[in-house]
Amino acid sequence: MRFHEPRYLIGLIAAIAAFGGGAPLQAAGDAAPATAAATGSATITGKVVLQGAAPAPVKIKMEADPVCQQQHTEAAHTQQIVAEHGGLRYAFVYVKEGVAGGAPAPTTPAVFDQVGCLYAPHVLGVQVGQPVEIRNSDPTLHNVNAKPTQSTPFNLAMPMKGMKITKTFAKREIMVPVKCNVHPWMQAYIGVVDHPFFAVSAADGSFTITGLPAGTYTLEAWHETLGAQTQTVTVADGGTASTTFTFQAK
Amino acid sequence: MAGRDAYVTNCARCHGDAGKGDGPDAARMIPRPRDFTTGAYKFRLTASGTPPTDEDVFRTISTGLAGTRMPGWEGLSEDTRWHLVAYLKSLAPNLAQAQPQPVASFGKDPGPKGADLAKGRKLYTDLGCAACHGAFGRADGPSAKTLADDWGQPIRPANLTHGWELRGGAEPRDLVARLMTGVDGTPMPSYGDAVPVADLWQLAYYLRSIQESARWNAPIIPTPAAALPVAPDDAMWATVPRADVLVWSNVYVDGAIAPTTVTWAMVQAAAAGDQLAIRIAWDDPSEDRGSPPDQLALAFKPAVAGREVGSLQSWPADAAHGGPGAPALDLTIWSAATGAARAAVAGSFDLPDTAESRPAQAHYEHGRWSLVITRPRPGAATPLALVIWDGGNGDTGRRRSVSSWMDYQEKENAHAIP
Repeated sequence: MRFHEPRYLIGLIAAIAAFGGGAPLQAAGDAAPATAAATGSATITGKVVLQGAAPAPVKIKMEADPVCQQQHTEAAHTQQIVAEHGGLRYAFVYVKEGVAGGAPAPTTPAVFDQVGCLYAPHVLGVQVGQPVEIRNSDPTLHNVNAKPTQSTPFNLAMPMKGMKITKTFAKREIMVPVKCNVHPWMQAYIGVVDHPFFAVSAADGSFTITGLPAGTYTLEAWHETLGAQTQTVTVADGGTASTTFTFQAK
Repeated sequence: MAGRDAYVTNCARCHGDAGKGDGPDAARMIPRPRDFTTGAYKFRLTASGTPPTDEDVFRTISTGLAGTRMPGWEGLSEDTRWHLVAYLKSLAPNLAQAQPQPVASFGKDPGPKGADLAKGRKLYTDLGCAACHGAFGRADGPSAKTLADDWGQPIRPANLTHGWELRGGAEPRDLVARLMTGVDGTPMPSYGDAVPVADLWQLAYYLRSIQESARWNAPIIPTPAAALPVAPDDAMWATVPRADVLVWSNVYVDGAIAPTTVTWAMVQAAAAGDQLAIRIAWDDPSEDRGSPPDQLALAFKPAVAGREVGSLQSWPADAAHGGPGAPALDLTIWSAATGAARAAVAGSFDLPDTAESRPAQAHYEHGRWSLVITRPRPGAATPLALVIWDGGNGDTGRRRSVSSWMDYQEKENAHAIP
């Protein structure tokens, strides 16, 4: 697969990133978990903000693998800190405390793809026991080297385009690092939680978590280089609470 | 506690008192001794990321790991080795669980007659092995330089043509086990989900076929030639006997051994009249013609009265290295920077301005240098040794790979060898 139009690639990754988040699973047309322990009609929405100057995007050198390079008409950039207009992308926002855990895992797989020698998405949230469908959309070798500490780690070769492997994570873990040793710039993080109340901040830093029961929750926003922050949020049935996480640029 | 006692006596020196791979000798080893506290074991018959079975650990203790400082411990009683297995398992929390199961099936060995080497070669390409191991298995793939292990340390891919260095064994069944289960703690992934195991057997037979058939420390006797084969790819070389030698370094930087990339060389010789052509091949993961360049020194040890040169590792023994000067050697030094070779009888690798130039032809292909140096025949049996610098590894000066003395003989002297 070649992408002659870089915007298309970015758009595709964004779409998959959104698809990989918690709530947007439903937006993608899948039924909500049939027997989730406690769901409701409350919503938490908000924004993850980067205060201070965002570092200049760093171009990725893909010369080592022409198959990677040929899929980008312009150099791709690292995804560690992606901030536009003050919004911080790729923060994992989830309910850390306040949910009675143990919601059954959805049978709908979360998709974790490799496209243009980048992970799509860069940050993914899944539930304990939920199938994670790992795909390779590139006609080159990737090794998916996942290093959870609470679940069994794995390092699997995916040499062919179109290959799929399904894995699950047995226990909650913030976050499971995933890398590709063949292409050392490839790094992703998977958040494993035991309920469906999580999201990944979008390009503008926004996030939305829906379907919560009324209550008071500890919400955490985790970012791979800027750390984690928590806030207490109270939300009523049918209501929407709004919150902002502010990270300082280093 | 029998396991702990045996561990302290036999293992702690390298693996550390607490099993963290940080014993007093650890820094002098590449690869480093394993850290047992993470529970990641390289050589298993269990799935990727899964703890080893007791038998996996017992096997590694018993047979050791080729190409490393880990010896086999069959000298210890079986009971003691089983006590060690139990003790090692106590060091990592993930090994406390129920006995892991090996991968359900490793398929069926097709045997050498059922091996399809062309198919194996195609699988090598299709499965992306070359990304790290290089197009012909010589550890020179485009990703080789950037690999890191789980501890963040740089790690080199295996040179698949060096069967004697393959830690988990060089036979097809060993290779299938590595391909199925991966090598945990390293970048090597499991291919168990990628292709049917029957394909992995074909790949394994191909890998077995590209292993060098080394003739270790064989005497180097020039083959008579009508015309000297001065080019490294001259057809005559295919018929000339080879002598293989290990090369290594014992140079330390900040108390830790400097990693070397060149570990093996092969020597052939052909003679016409009073001229000698010596062909040397060695594996080096990068072609470096810049600064520092790849270099090779061919040293003949003239029969001189006085000081003996026991090992080139410590030559020249200059003032900075505890000696009052060194016996002179008959040196020919080739540099990839110039492509030329210069020769002199000299007491150091810095040849004098009066050094003569010698014909040399070299080519580099897929991780391997092949070099032919032409020089006058020594005329008598003379020890020969090699010093090899990999510029891409930062080798320069005393940082280098060195062979032991090899046995060069003139044809007419061969009968004198018992």
